[in-house]
Amino acid sequence: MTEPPPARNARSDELSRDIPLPPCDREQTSYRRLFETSQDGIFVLDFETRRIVEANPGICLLTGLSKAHLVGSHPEGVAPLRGLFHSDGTFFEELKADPVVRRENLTVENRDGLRVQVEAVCNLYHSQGRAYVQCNLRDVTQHRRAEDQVRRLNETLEQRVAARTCELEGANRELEAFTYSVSHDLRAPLRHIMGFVEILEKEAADNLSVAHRRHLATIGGAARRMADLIEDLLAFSRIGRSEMQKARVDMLTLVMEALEDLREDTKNRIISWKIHDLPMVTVDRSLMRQALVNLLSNAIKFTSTRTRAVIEIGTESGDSDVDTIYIRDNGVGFNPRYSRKIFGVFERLNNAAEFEGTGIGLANVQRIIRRHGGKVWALGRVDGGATFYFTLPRGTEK
Amino acid sequence: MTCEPAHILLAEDDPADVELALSAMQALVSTHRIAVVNTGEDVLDYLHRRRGWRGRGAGQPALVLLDLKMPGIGGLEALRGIKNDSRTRCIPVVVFTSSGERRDVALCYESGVNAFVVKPVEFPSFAETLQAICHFWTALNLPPARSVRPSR
Repeated sequence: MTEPPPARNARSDELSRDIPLPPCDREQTSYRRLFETSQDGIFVLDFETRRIVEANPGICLLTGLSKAHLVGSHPEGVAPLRGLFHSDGTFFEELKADPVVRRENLTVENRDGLRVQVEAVCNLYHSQGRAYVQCNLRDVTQHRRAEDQVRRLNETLEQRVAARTCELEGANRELEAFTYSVSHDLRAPLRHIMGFVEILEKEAADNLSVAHRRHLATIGGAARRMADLIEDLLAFSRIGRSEMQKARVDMLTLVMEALEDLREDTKNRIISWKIHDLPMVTVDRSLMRQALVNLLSNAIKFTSTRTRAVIEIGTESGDSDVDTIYIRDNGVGFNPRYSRKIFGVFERLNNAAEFEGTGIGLANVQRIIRRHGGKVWALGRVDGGATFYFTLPRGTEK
Repeated sequence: MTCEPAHILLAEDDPADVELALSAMQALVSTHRIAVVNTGEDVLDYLHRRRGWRGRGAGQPALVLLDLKMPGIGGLEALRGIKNDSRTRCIPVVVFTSSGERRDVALCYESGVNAFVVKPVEFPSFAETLQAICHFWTALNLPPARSVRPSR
């Protein structure tokens, strides 16, 4: 037995001074120690007389009554313990039937007159031909209060989460509507710029100097680039707004479809494809295909400087809850410091002159994978290729 | 009626878009009569020969090219005005607009549009698309004969 905790110790000492320890047998020392130092309130009743014959410091502390006051009295006659036992005598009947009786949600009045919630475990035992009932009372007020608090917090937490989710959804919707209308409203002036540049080039080119013609070409090129950005932004906003229609599909089929979409990009390229076994997945077909097109077109793009490009698609085994799929290339790679940054909208790690792109593809990928409840991450080294991983939860039907 | 030039009504509020559209349809100008209006109200007034269009040439257009975003009653309301009126219901209407938003597309079809085309941003495809639409609706598509039009 270790020493009781210090805070309790001080009070026990105080009590010990009031109530001297009764003499006890050597064999009983350990029982006595348990009895005297227990944080539970313990008292012993004589089954026949129904009077208290023993009380520990814990019960004195709980009730605010001295041992002298408690011993010899009926529990029903002691204010704090009144109500602990039904006066109809069922308690003693129950004990006869089953020597261990538990009572929960009991209330006793403590020494400050405050109501304390207790749980009681009472058991009937015999000693030297007499029947006794030992009652252990545990103060569960703090426990209950904590439980209540947890329950209340949980309730309000749900409310808070719901409210916050609602706010976030609203903000998201607004943002998407904003993205959409900006993209849409930007298209009209862009169409005008490109249209009139075209007309000028066609109808006035002969009257323009070489430099002026070059300026016109620059305007046209810039407008086209802006058009690409706007198209990508629109696609990005569409991902967030579209409703998911999940179905069970073969990942390999999706990869093949994505490669079909990218036929133009692979023209005149020597690419060694290593496509391993791929799982069946539950996904929104068109969104997942878009994610694959983005990932594969990146792999194709960033291996364009390699004489022999190698692109590998496969799954990682391990986790049973998710399918982990990777797309690995031997392209220019990236600085691992930026492996998070590359999933941001309009983030580009390579300069535009070398590799075309608007910088929205990976943001789309992340968005699509997250909408499926998965994760996406990338590993890479400068000039050492890149591997993009994504996970999809398994067996999530609709 | 056969000698009448094919007749297209272009409803477009943005002068730059009008100019680009006319530039794209330049090849058609010799064979087509192209009228331009700038608001949804004007579309309906034109078709019903009201106000400024009391004295316009005979016949209804073989095609109405309708922008959605226009001041006053927009393209969608003009479309409903055309399709909810037995006198104009049979006139082919093609929405030609910047937005391909699914909701707009759905609403237009629910309101009886004959086709929905998003304006391409790049001029060559813009011109190509516009020419293709005009060619289809004025040369390939058979418009309802005038006698079929229910009188009221």
